[in-house]
Amino acid sequence: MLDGELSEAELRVLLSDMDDDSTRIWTTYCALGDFVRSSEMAAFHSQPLLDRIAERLQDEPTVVAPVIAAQATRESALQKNQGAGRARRLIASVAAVGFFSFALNQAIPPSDSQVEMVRTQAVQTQVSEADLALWQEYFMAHQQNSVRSGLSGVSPIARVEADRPSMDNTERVIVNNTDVVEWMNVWEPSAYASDPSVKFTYVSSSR
Amino acid sequence: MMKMYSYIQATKLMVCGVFLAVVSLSAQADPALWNLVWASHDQAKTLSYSGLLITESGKHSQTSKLLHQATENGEFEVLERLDGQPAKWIRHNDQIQCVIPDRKLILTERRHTSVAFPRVFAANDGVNSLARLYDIAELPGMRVAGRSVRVLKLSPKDDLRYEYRLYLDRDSKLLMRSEVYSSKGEVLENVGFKEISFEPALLENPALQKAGPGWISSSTEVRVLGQDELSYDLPDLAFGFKKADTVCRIKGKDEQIHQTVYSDGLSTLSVFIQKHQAGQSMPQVPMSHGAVMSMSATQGKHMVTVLGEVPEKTLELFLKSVRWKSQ
Repeated sequence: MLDGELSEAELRVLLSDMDDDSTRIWTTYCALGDFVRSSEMAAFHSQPLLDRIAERLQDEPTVVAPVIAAQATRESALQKNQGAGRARRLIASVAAVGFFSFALNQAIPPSDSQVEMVRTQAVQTQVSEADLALWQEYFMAHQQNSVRSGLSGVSPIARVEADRPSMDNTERVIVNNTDVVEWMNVWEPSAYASDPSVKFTYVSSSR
Repeated sequence: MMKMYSYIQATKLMVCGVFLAVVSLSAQADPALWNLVWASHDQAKTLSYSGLLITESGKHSQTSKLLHQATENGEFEVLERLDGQPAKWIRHNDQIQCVIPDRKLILTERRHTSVAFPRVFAANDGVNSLARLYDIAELPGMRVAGRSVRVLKLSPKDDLRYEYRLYLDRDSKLLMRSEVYSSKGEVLENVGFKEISFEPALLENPALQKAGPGWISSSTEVRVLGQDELSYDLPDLAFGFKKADTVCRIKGKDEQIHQTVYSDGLSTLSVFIQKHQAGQSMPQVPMSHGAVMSMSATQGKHMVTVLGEVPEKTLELFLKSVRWKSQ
């Protein structure tokens, strides 16, 4: 049953026969299974924690519209007159979540609520979030098969996620313009490009 | 005057002798140093160890906890990310799982190219090909993670690849740190142990995990492509880089990405080719993240992207090396 190998009919019989004691044992087994997979899961089975969450949920007002959408609309109106901008990027990055299809890319989709961008000189290059998502996809596919991953990671898998430039841990830099109070993702000229024409690097950092 | 002349001659001879001695010593030292690299490669597979690993790439850094366990069925490895969202990677030989606890998600992938392993060089003749492409030298020893290490510098003989520095444990020969340098001498990437134990607490039953109730399991479909399935040709060997497999990553019914992996034994690059989709593009500017840089171009109905830990010049050469049979 725990491995999900029972047929639906067998499962139905078993479930209908379960009393409180068996339910408790079942829950414990599930918790043990989760815990074996990751110690992080312990928190998800803490009854007092679950009770507190349930209590808080009771008190939560119902939100009809998704926060991101609301935020995007607001930004869109705000930025409409300024040309390319943050709203477009916010919407695009929502799409980017669905865009990721490689297994490891699904790992940590960009957290849209944390992506804050403003238009600056550095961002004027036409790189949309969808472009970036595709680039990340390539990046991950490459990393998994890089010889270097075996070499330099000491562990070949070490690099896969460690290296991934993502949108939720991007470098935050204040623009020179003091009127701009917002933070942003930055595309900066690549220090390693040999061609002097405009080159950009996606800067990411957990800071 | 005569005395002075013979003095200069003697000095010249001595300098020349010393120079020749150094040259011949370094020539002799080369095979020994390359052997050390191969030994390190073997040790990384056969030793059991655990420790804290730091990856610095560009301005990004990440700390992880690593356990590598040599078992009779091959290698077993668990890597747990310590910063940010919890995630754990489990590898058994070429199978990789990524466990994301707070999404109850287990993702599975198989490393699919033969180039990925062994660790340092791609083929059996790796010794020769690496020695043809890189010069090897030993730098003064150092200490990494509390252990004494030998430092090897692998400098490229051309400008199509980067310089590597390998820090190998003096006792176990295990790679303790590796650095990638640009031609300007900047460190593009630095991965190494901060702490290590060669007597780790071993797992009793190392195995990949099964998705339990409520957990979701997912994997990417990847298949190797035959030459006749491709509408283009890529060279088998170019600029010291050898072609490994071409694989197809299937994203959807109409969306497939071809990936061809090349390696010179140390550096790897991938050539990605996919049909141009409406509303889809690749950044038209070169992009880099740490040592990895990429360049894209639209060729007919296809989007070609070359991405790898190589300088821009190499990317350009590979972008131009696609020969289309049809579009």
